[in-house]
Amino acid sequence: MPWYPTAIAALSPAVPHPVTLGGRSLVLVAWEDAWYALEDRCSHAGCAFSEDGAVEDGRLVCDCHGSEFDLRSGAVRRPPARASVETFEVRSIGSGLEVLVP
Amino acid sequence: MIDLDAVTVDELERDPYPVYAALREHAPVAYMPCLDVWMVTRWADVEAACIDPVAFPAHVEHSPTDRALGGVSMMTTDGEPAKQRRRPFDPTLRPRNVEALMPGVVERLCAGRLDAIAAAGRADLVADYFEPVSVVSLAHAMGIADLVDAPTLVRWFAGLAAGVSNYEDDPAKTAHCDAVGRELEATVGPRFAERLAAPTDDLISHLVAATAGPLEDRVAFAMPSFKLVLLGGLQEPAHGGATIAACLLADPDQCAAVRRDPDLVPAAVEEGLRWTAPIGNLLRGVPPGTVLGGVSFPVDARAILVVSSANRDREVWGPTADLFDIRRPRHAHLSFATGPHYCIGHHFARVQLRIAIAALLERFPRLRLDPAHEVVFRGHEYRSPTAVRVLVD
Repeated sequence: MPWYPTAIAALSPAVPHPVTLGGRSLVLVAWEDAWYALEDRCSHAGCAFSEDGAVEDGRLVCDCHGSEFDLRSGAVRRPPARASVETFEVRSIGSGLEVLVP
Repeated sequence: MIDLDAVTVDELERDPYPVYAALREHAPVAYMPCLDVWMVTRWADVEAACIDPVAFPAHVEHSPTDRALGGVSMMTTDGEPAKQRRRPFDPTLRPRNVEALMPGVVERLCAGRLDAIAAAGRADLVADYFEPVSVVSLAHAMGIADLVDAPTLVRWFAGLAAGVSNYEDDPAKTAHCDAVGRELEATVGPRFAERLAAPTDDLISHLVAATAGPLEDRVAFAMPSFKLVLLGGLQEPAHGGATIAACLLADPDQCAAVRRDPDLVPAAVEEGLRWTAPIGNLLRGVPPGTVLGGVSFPVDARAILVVSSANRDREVWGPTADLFDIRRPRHAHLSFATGPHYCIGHHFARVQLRIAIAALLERFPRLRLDPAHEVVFRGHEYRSPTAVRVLVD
């Protein structure tokens, strides 16, 4: 599984930042000095977090219907979503990040 | 047990939480005679109803919300009609757009108000800080800041709020709300005509372009949702802010912790919104056949999903549910609802609250409640402190 480099300059910590890595649409999220990568698609109705998402006190929130997800595990923290969203390992390399995308 | 016939509107306005606790314990889905609605008070039932628009549709016959706003809005429709009414607000209220456009506006408004408070040495944080910052921030976002001043917006809010919560059909509240509605339409209406003739990228341009046909039809379609956003856009940040400030100032240890570590501000904001939801109820219809918590509803029933009660449910929040505790384990609350009617302005409200609380604490290291004035909370559907009087020197 390859690690894909991505820049992190000037990303707002409040909104998920879209990136396409290894052919996958992901969002990068900064929270409490760590970075998280999740798939850019809510498991409930398919809304893109990069369009309709926000980071609220450590949870990824989908604006469309209010589903909330754990940044670390992608697990559902509040319905209506029932299924978790996929998460990806992130590591800091120099001034950037690398994301492990299968 | 709880004697439902003995509960009064005034009792709920003074402090609904003991009634909610008794309802959760003994009658979690119950008809409340003084409001003529069924109340749903447990977290599990409120959450389940929020995400099921078939069993609990947003449209309700004889809705005080529709009556107050002059027609159906995105909050009182479901499916495509709701999406059609909500979509024009997306460019203004989507989180990434809020982040791009609003923090600077809110910071400037906070700084101006804090300067005035510093000069006075004392303030009512509701009237002198949170309400004006909230309404003027919202007016900027909605593109009407040049048309109305803060006192007018606060007055509009009060009139609309009185109408929307008028379950008891009080004619005085209806008249108050109608008068405000006419004034609002007379003030804002011409802007719809201007934007139809010469569109920009502001909210009213998107609203007037959302439907076809003559101007008056477009305005009639958009105006109830426009009023709704004015109403909710003041309630959640202004009165949530007052609640959060009152809670922090009443608890020196938690306040000191937030001062030491501003990264705790988001947790304080979320906990304040949980502890007292500024908008406590969601009105829903109940079609024949709907069953919840073992209760079959009668024909023509209407229900309120009491998110403020769900936010205190010990099954979810544990034995300390009634306490304001910024260190409690993180858990999503229901103050912005969930499901298809999840609050479109949740992020804007949160941005305002985080900025306003952080700026207030940073500006006044000796900020404290004025011991001459007790903080009194009031309301059940819309609940907040009536005033938060502070000394700042």
